[in-house]
Amino acid sequence: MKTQIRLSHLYRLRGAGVLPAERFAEAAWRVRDHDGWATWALRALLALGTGHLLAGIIFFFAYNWADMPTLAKFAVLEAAVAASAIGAVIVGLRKHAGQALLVAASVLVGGLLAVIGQAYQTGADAYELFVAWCLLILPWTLVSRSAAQWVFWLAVVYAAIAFFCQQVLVPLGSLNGTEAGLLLGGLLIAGLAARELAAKAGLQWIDVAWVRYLPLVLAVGHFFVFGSSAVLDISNETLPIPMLIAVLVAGVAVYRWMVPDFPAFAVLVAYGGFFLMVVGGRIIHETVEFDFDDNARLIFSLVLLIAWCVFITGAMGKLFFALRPNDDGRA
Amino acid sequence: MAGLEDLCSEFGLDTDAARQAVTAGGFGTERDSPWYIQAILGFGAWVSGLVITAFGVILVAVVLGIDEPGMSIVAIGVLFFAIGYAVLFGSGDSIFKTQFAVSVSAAGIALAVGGIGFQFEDIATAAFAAAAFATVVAATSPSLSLQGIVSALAAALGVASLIDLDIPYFHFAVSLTLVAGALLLMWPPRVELRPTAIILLFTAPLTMILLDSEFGFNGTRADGGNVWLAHAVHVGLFLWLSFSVWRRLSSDAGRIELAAFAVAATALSLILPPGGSAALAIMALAFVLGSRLLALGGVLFQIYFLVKFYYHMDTSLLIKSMILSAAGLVLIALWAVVQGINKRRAEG
Repeated sequence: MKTQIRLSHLYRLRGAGVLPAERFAEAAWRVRDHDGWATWALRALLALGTGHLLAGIIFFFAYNWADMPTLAKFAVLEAAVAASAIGAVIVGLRKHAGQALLVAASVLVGGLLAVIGQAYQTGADAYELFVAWCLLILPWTLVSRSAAQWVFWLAVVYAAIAFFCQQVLVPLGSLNGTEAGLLLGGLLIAGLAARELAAKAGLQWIDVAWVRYLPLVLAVGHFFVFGSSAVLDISNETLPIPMLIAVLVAGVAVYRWMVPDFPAFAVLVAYGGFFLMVVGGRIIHETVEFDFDDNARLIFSLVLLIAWCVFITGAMGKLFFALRPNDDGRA
Repeated sequence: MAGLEDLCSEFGLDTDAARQAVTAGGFGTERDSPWYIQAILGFGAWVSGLVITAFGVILVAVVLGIDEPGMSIVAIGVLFFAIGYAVLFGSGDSIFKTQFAVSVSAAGIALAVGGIGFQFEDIATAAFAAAAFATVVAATSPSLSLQGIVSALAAALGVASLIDLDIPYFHFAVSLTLVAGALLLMWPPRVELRPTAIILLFTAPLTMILLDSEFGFNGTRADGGNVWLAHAVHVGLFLWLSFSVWRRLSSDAGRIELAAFAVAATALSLILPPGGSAALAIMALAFVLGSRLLALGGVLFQIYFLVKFYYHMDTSLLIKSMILSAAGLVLIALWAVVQGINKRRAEG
């Protein structure tokens, strides 16, 4: 079987003295994925251009805002929403430009809702704006066939729930801050699960790597922060600990066996490893104690913590090394 | 992706030696490990190193009761470093042993460098000591994690000492690290210096992010020439990388596309803080080498500097709006032109 060469292999060839330094860049150019990088550059250009133009439009209205009659404000924003949405249909949602226009229309809907709130002084809480926003752009999201549109929609839903917790559930005592954080983490997990099911059902447009890694890192990060706080007694909650463990176990099962993906598996193992370091620190503190008045006890507990941290990192390394991916990136 | 045999035949390389190098390269867990695994394990070693550093400080200050810790901390640090290195080069290839050795060595260097800083009450001296340790580690240690941690320490102290000395061309001096990092990646020496190169490459934009509050608007000091010199270095690197791609393109259309992009990107980056042009150069390097890690870093830096620039721009909203809209239209037009050319090329 032929050995496929990557950039990291070229550094090894250079290290072994097989590839001269002056030909290294040429060899890197030879082995790189030209089509993939050309697509990357074009998408970056389109995203940068769209982002600038949208920001420019928003700044323009912000400049004239105070002097503009209410009717004009609505007319301008509604025209922009309509133009973006119609443009998306004309260009076609299968093309990146069409998808970018639909995201633009979705962003502008949020601006329109904010103006309604200003003009009519509805007295609505912020969460109501976000709830209306996510409901209004849901139909576009459903037909969009765009991963970026779905992630944007999920971000609006996240903001709606976060504000609802902050303005209603937590003040009423229905939830505390930790439970609200876990709920938001659960929302991200639900989004990730939906992405995996959609990809499994054959929707190729959602089966892009960043739509897996971004919610995964953020979702498990929520549980990790609250789980570690619980272990360190920063919060008085115990619920985050079993929830974190459940999320990690389920995630490992999914990304190791059901949908094998080594980077996602590595993220979960890393969170688990660092959580174990926190747990070890707490156990050492409870049993031996980091006591600054007792030098022998202090030194002994620090030595134990060092050994524990080294052991956990080493164990992660051993696991990664044993399960490292092949050239195709799969474990 | 190319096959090893094809590459060897095209470049006139010894195929057997190349095959051996590709299969045998790397050290411990770093062998065949992607960058994110090395980052996770490096972070783990860093956490362990912090605890060991705390252990060293407590050993000197609390247990030994030494009030002025300078040289005693240095002695403890050198001892830790020696123990770590002895374990690293000792027999066996255990992953646990390696992690322990990396953490102890890193903590030893941190203690020694910190002790030197205390003893001489001078950050620059500590930075020189860190650079010396980084050189020793780069030249002798097989661990890339250790090299990355020590290089980061040396870079951080180097930047801190430049601030402490209040040198007049601060941004220009920091921008040179970007060039050094790029050269190490484009013309790598036989000694593996990738972690050092990436640390050097990210030092300039990271410095501008971390010193945001100190330097105020645009993350720069008020002395304009300083900023323009840094821009000149970053843009010069970007244009040189663009030229290296231009030379390799065979079609005139492709060369025209690239030239148009280079001109537009240069114009855009010159209105940004120096960190923006540094991010552009990193993205160009990612494109030339085909490095996803550099692409990710460059894109994140660029987003940060774009948002920061427009947020802090000291003009009316109308001027901001005009600049943003014009830049957006130019970029979208460029994208449309390139798309059109590609489509015609595919059809014809």
